[in-house]
Amino acid sequence: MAQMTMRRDHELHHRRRGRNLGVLVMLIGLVVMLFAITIVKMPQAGGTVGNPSASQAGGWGAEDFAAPFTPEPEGATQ
Amino acid sequence: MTDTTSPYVAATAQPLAPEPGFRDYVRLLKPRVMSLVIFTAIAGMLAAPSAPHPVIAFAALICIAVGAGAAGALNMWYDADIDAEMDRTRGRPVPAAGVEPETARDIGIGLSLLSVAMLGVVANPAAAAMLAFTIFFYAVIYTMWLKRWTPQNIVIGGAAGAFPPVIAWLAATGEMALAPWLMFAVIFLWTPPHFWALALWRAREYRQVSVPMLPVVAGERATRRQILAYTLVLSPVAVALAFTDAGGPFTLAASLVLSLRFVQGALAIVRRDEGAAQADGYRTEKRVFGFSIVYLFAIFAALIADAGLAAMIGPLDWPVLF
Repeated sequence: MAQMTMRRDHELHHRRRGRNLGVLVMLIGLVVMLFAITIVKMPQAGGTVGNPSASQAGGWGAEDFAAPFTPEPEGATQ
Repeated sequence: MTDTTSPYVAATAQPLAPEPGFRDYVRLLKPRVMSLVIFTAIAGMLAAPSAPHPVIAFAALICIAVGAGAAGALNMWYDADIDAEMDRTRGRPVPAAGVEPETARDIGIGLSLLSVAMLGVVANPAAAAMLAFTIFFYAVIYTMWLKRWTPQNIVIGGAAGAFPPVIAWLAATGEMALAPWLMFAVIFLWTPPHFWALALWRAREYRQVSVPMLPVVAGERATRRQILAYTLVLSPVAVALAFTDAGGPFTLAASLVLSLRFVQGALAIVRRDEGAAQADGYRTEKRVFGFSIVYLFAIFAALIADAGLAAMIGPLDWPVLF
């Protein structure tokens, strides 16, 4: 019966693994950079979610998200 | 029974082509040229009057660097035939490491689109448009058209390498000014003497692949004179840069001292003939070529130093003449 033997990786496999790892690192870097840009750009766009021009046309702006958590002025319910 | 007609057997029987590694794909982006691009772009960004958020500045610099790398990959795709023939370029990833020219082209196009689109989002459309023009200029105007057609290829094509500080300034401010165009002029005027010093001792290779470099078409005597002429024009432009919004005492000192040495080197080249150069293995030409790299890095390092000085002690009482 033939026995399975461990085979040492060919140099070609090392290269492919290195290439795949390189692409992985690049993609992670791109994601991190896009995330950081988004965080920095959000306040610059007035906290607007989605299309910055949408809030001017009655779309969702930061105030729409803040509203539910904004304490009501005292006496407003009286 | 073995099926010898199987395409699998036929394919595996052939010797394996070299398998490119990740490093080969990085080399496709010409990292050494990229380092110069990044450095001059950093200088352009720091010298600009308004500083963007560090994350935005970093991302914009990455976009500019990737755009430059994309142009390099397109250059390697188009020049694959002559790169394989010249000693200087024989070791590039397409001729030496098994990267397919079409892969280089696809990477170049993909990264061009990505970098331009990202710069438009990160900075502004004007900077993105300028980056797109720079990639087009290097890949199409220089590589596909000028390089194999005119001995002025380096003069006009050098503009592509001169754009990064202008793009960075635009990315930082969204506006244009004279200072970034003087930075452009310094790199633009520096490129011919830098490259022709190299071309003098590589003339035989350029002749072999029919690239009309100045020493091949006009001769080494004319090339030596042109090196001096460009160095003489470059010097006052470098000094003028010191008297802009971006300049200061460091830029003035660096441009004066280094320009003087560059002119001295160019004079030494002009005083020699081909016989003397061959006798000592083009020692002077190689020395001036090496110094020219130091020259450009030092001028832009001085701009960064002046920006740092202004950031530390506030606006300097410095004459701004341009």
